Formats: sequence, C-alpha cells, structure tokens
Amino acid sequence: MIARRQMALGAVGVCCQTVGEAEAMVFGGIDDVLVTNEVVDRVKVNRLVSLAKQARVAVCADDAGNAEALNAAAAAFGARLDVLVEVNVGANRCGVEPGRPALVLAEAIAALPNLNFAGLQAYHGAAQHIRDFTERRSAALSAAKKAGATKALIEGAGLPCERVTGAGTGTYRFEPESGVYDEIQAGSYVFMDADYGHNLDEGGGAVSEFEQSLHILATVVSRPDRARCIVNAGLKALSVDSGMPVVDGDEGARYVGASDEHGKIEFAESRRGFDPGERVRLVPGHCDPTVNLHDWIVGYRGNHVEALWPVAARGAF
Amino acid sequence: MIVTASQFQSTAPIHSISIVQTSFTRSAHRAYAKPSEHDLVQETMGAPVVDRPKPVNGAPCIRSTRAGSALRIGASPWSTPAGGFEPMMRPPAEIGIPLEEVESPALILDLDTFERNLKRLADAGRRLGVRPMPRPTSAP
Repeated sequence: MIARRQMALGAVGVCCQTVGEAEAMVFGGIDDVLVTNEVVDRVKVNRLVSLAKQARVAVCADDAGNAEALNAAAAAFGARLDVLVEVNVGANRCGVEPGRPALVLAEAIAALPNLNFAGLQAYHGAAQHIRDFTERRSAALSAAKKAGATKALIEGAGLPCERVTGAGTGTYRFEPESGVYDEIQAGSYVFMDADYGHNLDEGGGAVSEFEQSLHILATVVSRPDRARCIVNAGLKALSVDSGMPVVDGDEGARYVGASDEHGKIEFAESRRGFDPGERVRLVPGHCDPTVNLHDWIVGYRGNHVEALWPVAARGAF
Repeated sequence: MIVTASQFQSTAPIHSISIVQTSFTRSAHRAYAKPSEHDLVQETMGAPVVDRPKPVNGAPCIRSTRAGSALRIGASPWSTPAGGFEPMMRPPAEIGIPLEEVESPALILDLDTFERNLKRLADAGRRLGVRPMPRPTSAP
C-alpha cells in the first residue's frame, strides 16, 4: 500500500533489503525493485533471478564470485539481471572501496553475459543519523564525492554507469549539491522516529521537514507508585536499538526501560502521571524494526480508524 | 471451538480489497502456493470444520496458508483454515471505530500526516532533480 502510494506520487521504484521484501513488492504490483544488498544464498539467488523475469529487478554486489553466481543463476533461468556495484562511501558495511576496486568489479560484471552492469550503490547509512547539520552535510558530500569519482573512472574506461543511487531521509537534501546521485533512497520519512527527530537543522533546532506519523499506542497496566507506571508495550511491540521510544507530547514522562511485554515510564516530580487504563502514544526509537514487529498498521484520520494494512514484508528474508 | 469459514466471513469486519491482495503477497513468498490439506478444509465452507489438519512435511506455515486460502475463497485474512482465531493475525482494530477502542499495543498511523510526508519527498525530488526510490522497509 505504502509503496504504491509512493509510486503514485512519482517514485520510480522501491528499494528493498531482502529477496523476501522484493517478492512482497513485486507480488503487490510494484514493477521496479532494487535490492540494496548482497544476495548470496543459492536458493535466494534463484528466487531473485526468478523475480527478475517478472519485474525490473536489480541487486547489488561487492564480490566477483558472487557476480559469477548471479550470472550462472540468470543463465539457468534465461534471465538478465541488473547488478549495481556497491561502493563503501563511508559506512564501512558492505561495498568495495571507491575507485579502482569498483572499476575492476564493474568490468567483471559487464563481462558476464547474463548480467547488466547498472551503476553504483553508494548509500551511507550512518551519515543519516549524524546530529549536527554541518557534519551530516559534510559526510553526505564526502560520500557523494567518492561515488562521483568512481563513476567518472568507470565511464572513463568506457562503461556506461546508468544510475548512482543512495542518500536517505537524513541526507537526501544535500545530494543535489554534488550532482552525483540519480536516485534517493529515503524510507523513514513516511513514518519518522525519535532517532531522526534528534537530527538538527541549520539553525540548531530539530529537523522539521517531515512529521511524526507513526506511534505505538500503549495502555498503562500498572501504577505501582507515583513516580512510575508500566505500559503494555515492551520489546515485543517496539525496538530499542536506536534508543528508547519517546512519550509523545509529554516531556515530564520518560520511557526508561523495556522488557518483553512491559515498558517502564517515569514521571518528573511535578507530573500527575498516568493511571491504569490511560492510553499513551509512543514515538518509536527506530521505525523500521518497530514496524517489523507488528502484523498490522492501523491508519486513522481524525479520531477514527480508516484503514487496516497488514505488514506484508514482515519477517520476509 | 467448532466454527466454519462462512461464519467467520459473516462476522468479520469489512476491509478494502487491498488487504486481501497484500495478504496474498505475504503468503506467496512464504508458502510457495503448495496445496495442502488446509485447502481441502477451506472447501468445506458452510459445514462444520472439526478436524485440524495434520502437519505435512514441507507444507506452508499456518499463517501463510491462512492468508493464501483466504485469497482463494475471499474469506477474511485472519480466519484460520481449521477454524478458530489465530491471535497473532487478528487486527487490533476495526474500520470505523474510534481510536479509544483500538486494542493495544498497536501501531497507529496518522494518515493526514503520512500523506503530507509522502507529498513532501515527492515535491523535494522534483525540486532537487533526483528520482525518489524509497525504502518501504517491512511496510504494507
């Protein structure tokens, strides 16, 4: 549903991180999917190649052996697969180093008959969450510079570099300065979360270009004393990898700890606090893994439920 | 509890077609559409469903089967093939109810805000001259 809305508003396709997510998108009617990840398991490679016969599907690679495996599977299925070279532009996760190592891999991919060298994946995930505006901009431009130089090297060697893709919710606005990126991979902007809410804008205030649309609705189940209450949303309802959720609109109440089914909220001394039965809205610390914990998203307008969307790609690897 | 698929249909809230379609996408990548005894049980709509099917080697997990079967017969996507509710898939709300009645914990999405966010990135993409290729991770 969300991907289709994004496409209707001008998105050229969607990015996924797993083959299962890509399948969910293609089966849901999205016809252009980029798997921004390496796919190595033999069966997963087969699933990916099979999918490439049903929609425009591209994948990333940072290893020549993996490229050969992708090519062999594509040949077996009579398919042709778009492959982007993933370049490490600062995140130090996957990716070959910029420059010559990327060129070598691009040439290896281009030489394989069932693969099409489609460009560069240059996503700097960590840069999305740098709080300071100037530092975040600097990291984004540094990533873009590495990607741009690599693109120039590859094109100088005679290989067309069709697309350079990267950038996210935290850095997309800097990319045009570089003129390198053709596509932006923002995702969290639809929901936002407490972590992105900590990013600062040019004036030092919290970024405000996107608003918090997603909350975890929790109920107070216990009020053992005046200083704290317990809600029914713990680790099974929200992720804490990027910090605790934030109690929406109430700075005097702080979500301080999560166990499996419980969340502990402490109150400032002056606060009345919440009593059993009261509802609390929590801003998720990190929206992506939080969504992945739920079967349903309850869409509301005003005060009434308007939509129930199953989380189609939940747990889909 | 003995129940029938048709009983679930009659008592389930009405949802848009998109739910069924998306449920299928979910089942498709997990279940690989392998026919199983669950399908046969679904065919008995209207008659009491008494026996829970035995596990079959390689058969899809019950969540997937339920969604897939639901697509085939048009039943609500959270009714189980063998009868009974599967709590994990029961939605925490019904269309039209006030937010106060939504079961918790639940993920709730302010659709007005969500739509503004979608539009802002689309507008920014046009303004900045880049193509949005968004990441709807795990999203519906």
